[in-house]
Amino acid sequence: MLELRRVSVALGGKAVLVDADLCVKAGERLCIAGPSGAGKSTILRALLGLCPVDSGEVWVEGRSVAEWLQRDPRGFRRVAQPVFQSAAAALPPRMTVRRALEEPLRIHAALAVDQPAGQVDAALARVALPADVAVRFPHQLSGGQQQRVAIARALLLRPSWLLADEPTAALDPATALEIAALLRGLSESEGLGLVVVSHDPSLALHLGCPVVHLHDGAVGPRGSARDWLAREAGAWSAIGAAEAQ
Amino acid sequence: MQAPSEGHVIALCQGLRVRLGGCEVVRGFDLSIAAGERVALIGGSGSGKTTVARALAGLWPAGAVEASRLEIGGIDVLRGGEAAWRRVRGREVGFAWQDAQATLDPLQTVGSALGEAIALHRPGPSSARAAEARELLRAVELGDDGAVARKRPHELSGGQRQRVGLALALAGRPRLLIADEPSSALDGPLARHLAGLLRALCGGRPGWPALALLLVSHDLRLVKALCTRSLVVADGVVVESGAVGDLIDRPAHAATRALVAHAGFADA
Repeated sequence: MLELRRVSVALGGKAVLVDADLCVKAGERLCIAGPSGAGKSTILRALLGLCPVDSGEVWVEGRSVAEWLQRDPRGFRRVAQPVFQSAAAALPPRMTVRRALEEPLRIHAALAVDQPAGQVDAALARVALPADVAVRFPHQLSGGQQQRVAIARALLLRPSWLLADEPTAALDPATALEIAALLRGLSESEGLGLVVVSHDPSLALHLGCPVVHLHDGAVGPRGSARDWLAREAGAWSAIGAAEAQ
Repeated sequence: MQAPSEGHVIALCQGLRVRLGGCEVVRGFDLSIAAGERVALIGGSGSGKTTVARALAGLWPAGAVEASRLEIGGIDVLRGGEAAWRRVRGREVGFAWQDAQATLDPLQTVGSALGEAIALHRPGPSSARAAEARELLRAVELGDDGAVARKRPHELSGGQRQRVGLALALAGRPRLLIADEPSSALDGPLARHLAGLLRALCGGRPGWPALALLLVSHDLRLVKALCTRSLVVADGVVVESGAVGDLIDRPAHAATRALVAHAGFADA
């Protein structure tokens, strides 16, 4: 379970999260929505322990994240992994895909000494990439392939949670749909919990998950992606209507 | 040259081909935009839609572009070469690019950049330029108290920068605006604000010529809000075209279906 309990965060003197509460159960998928500057990324960073909170508590799998990170940071990273908007920025530019994928295994002493290649191949297969991608550098891959590698890397340590910040915003429509389908498939087949931050209602629809909206630093009630999409569609069609008047 | 009337063709290209790095990226493209018309080029990454837009701005090296006809604002830019393009750019056709930040000089205030762009097209006393700069900022809803004019790009929000880019594109009072993914860096409310603004600008302003729009985008919500007609581009050719509503309701080509699903108009 992921939990925020009355979490407040101020950045540069501005209150971003104000007594925010959130609860996501194991294996659930949830989209966190809101306009630019609403605190979407801050919530994700707070859940990942990447952003200190001014007050309140962040709990993951029944443990306080602040305490967990202090005692056993690697143990926490094995449970919750991030996926960012820019896969190009998330992958080390001077490492081949194979080395980038072996690195977390090495750090966590989970690399099978006898056959590391097998682990990397399996990781690539999990995100539907051919094994020959392993010898390439990030710049030799398309944006969609880069995002798949970033997801493969996040999944290597078998986390219970993926926390993704606009994972498809930098991708073209067809590729964005593929990545959404990949994330949804991983969640459904492996019970992976998925929290996705996005301002795009169609991503939530394709992930098949409920949505919470951020308002004035607080998390609103859960709603359906379809309702959100319909509201957005209404707002878009109002543009034409205003002119016709 | 006589001023074209309403319904006049403002941009025309026939058999457009663009070859870049030994690869034909645009492979025979026809397009005609009437004065005041709002047309969209839609397609995924690498489809060639931006390449077409840049060709209509004369931004590729001379040898890269081939066409049987290419006319902007009635000027034959194919035969006229760079000299003709200089008469066309900014004056007949203005451009608003995806990354507004990259189009703005970080050291220059907004007012100074606008003044420079206006002087390029209509030299005159600096007081007249300042007044015109204020009018442009008003037109893109950036206020008229001069506060934005005194700012530099880093002091603006993403949405404000995008609108400054738009004001610059309009400084030459063009009859065609090419906007390449103008809202892709903006969230829903800001993207809708920009869409409303573009529609209002295309609706005409007193003293300005009717503004036609060529919108390059993969966001069908924006396209639907703005354009009446759309061409779907895939692999350097038009694979489907028609009224935007019809394309959304009955997409025939796989590229169109992906765009429709992506915009949430249909399930994937």
